[in-house]
Amino acid sequence: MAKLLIVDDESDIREFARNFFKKRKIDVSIASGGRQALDLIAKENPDLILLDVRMEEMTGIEVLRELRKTNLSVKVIMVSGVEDEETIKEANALGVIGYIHKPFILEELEKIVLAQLNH
Amino acid sequence: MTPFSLVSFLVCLLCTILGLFAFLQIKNRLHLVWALFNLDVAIWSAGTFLAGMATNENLARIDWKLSHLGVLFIPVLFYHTIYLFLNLKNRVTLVLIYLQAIIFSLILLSTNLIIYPIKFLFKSIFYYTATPLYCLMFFVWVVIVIIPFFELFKGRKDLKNLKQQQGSYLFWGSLIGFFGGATTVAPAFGLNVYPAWHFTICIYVLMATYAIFRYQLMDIRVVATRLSIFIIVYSLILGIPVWLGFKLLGKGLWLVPVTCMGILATVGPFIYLYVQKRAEDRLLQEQRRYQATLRQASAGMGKIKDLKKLLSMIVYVLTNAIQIEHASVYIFDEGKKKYLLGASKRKFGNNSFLESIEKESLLVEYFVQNKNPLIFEEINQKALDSKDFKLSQLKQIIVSLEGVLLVPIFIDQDLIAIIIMGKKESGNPYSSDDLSVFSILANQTALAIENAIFYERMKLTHEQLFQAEKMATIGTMADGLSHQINNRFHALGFIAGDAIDTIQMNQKELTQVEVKEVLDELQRAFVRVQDNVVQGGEIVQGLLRYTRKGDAGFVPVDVEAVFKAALEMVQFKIKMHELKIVREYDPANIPKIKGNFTQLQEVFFNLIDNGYDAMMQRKNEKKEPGFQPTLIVRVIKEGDFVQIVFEDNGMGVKEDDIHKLFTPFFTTKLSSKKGTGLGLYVIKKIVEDNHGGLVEMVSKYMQGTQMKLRLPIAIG
Repeated sequence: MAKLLIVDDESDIREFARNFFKKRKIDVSIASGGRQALDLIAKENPDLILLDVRMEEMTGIEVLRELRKTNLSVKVIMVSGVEDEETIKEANALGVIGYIHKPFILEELEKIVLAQLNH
Repeated sequence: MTPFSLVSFLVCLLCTILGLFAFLQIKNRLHLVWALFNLDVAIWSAGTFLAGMATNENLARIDWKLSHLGVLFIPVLFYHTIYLFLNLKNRVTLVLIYLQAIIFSLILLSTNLIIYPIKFLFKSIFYYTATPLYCLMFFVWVVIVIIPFFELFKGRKDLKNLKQQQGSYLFWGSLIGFFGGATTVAPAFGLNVYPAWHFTICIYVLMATYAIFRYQLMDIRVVATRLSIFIIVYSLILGIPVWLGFKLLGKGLWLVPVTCMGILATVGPFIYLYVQKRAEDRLLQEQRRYQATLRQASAGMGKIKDLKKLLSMIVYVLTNAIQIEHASVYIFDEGKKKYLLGASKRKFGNNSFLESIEKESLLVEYFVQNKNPLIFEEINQKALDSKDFKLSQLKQIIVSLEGVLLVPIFIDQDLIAIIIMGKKESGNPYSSDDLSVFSILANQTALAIENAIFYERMKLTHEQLFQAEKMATIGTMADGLSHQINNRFHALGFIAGDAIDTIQMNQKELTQVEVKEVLDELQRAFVRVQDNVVQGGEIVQGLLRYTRKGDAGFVPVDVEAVFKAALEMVQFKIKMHELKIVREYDPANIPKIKGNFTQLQEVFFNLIDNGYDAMMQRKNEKKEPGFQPTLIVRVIKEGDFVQIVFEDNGMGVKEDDIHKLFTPFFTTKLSSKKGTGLGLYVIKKIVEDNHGGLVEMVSKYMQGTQMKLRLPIAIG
């Protein structure tokens, strides 16, 4: 079963996202912040990570930087509001699959996530 | 020297000066004749002076003949002066009058028929005696003197303003002079009146001098009153002691009259001033009253902050306080570079005046040079005298403005307003006192207008500052808030999306119809929530875009590439086949501009999108047959800038709405679904704040809109 990690400091997002992807036979784990996310990645080695950019404790970019120090292979999709071009550039440099702007229609996210997990 | 000679000498001296002065000022024939008249009076008085000094009969006889040569021509030249002054046409009379003077002169000089017998009178003067022919000559003389006075009196009503004043001076001054001068014949007819009354000719000279310098400004009644008071007061002061000395005390005791004289001479000026003030107060009561009103009004003006109201008040006060027929104020308009009619009032008839005065007008030029109030009559007179083309043009301008008195108003060196006043209802001319009051009024008005303008500008600046501050606050707030709001939308999107998902997954297994229907309805509701989430997200994005500074680098950007990229973006939003895009430029010849590709793409996208919407609105609403939505794009190099014009033939915008378009959250698009109201604001921010360019919008309702962008060319 494919493993998906959702990192977001919004509890509603975590809850409903997990709900949604569980129905599609995906093993969803959630993290409310950067530290927790890094621990989970080390422990569970997910296939895909949905990583929010703007978070209280650590920003998505900081998490990504930390992550890439040890793990270069894991697929990451950044989820963000409107970010400046520098953030996008750095994310690209750190090897992300894509950048998805919120808010979005869930179906679209579903298509993207499923496409990545079925690879 | 006898008093008789002394007076004659004085008269001769004054008349010579006046005559020479008039000679130097000659501008037309009237001046010439008047100068000759004065010199002729001087000849007469020179003769009488010499006669008074003569030591024997023979000498006196020659002097009297010389004197009478002058006498003969005095009424002739006076008539000629009046003839020219009144523009009389009676040439025959003029010639006849000259002729008689010449004939009498010839008789006077070549025979002894007019002047011969000499008597020794007043124990001091060899005086001539009237012969029969002298009587005839004197009779003719008196008749010829009366004619011009009669003409002046008859013609006084046809004279206008300035000339009317001149006429009054001429009439009264000459009458006084002639009256005094004529008394010198009394001894010749055996009447023992000491001949010193011709000193009144000095009064005539004084009045004439006064008139030359101030005639257009001063009320004749005032001059006459002042002079009479002066003469009466001083003849009393000087006369009483002399009379006392002679009659009461005998010839030895001069001490008393001299003391008396000293006291009276000291008190004299005070008496004179007091009497004069009282007399003038009575005469000028009316004038003083409105001058006080004007002073009060000008003090109150500073308190009015509304410019329009201030100008209305000025014309109101002027027309009512001074009682003039009309008044108007023209004020400089920065935008139109003209003096526009600010306020006007006409007592009777319709209140229509010239709409504006050009900045290049001769009137404005005149004021900038002279700074002082202008009296129409003066310009009129000068224009007639000098035949200067410019002056007559200036005169025309003043006529078209219906001005009698024009007062300029300056702030520093700038002429900011012109007050134009019509005739006084009484028909009186403006006096010098009036002018000094108007100067004060003009200064006060200038201050008040400056005040009002400053206040209005401050109000505007204040509004702009407030607006800017509001936007800045929105800006900082937007940055933090929008992420929060966006996250809420995001969460809502997830919740709605998951709910829809759950419904869809479970619906198939359900059999109960009612439940299915309820779920259908719920699903529709959640889809609506989802749509709203996406729209809300777009608004936040728009808001964020303009609060963020363009951080990415500014590099040389190819206009054509930006345009193509924008078209690629826009084709997902609009139906391209409905729209005709005409590119009126050659991409190869356009220099690159210094800018941010993404931001410019956004600008172009918005402009194409806006144009499309406007054209579609026109097409759908008006349904004009054969209407083809066309967007013309022009790119022109202008110095260091490139001008890019997007011209559509859409609905256009009403003039009132144009400036609102650039405020955030204003939209003219009918459905709120179509726009966030941020489009033009974002465009302006990007082009002007980020790129140092310029956005200009020209729009005509139902004709279309031109959006002009000026962007700097990349160097190198």
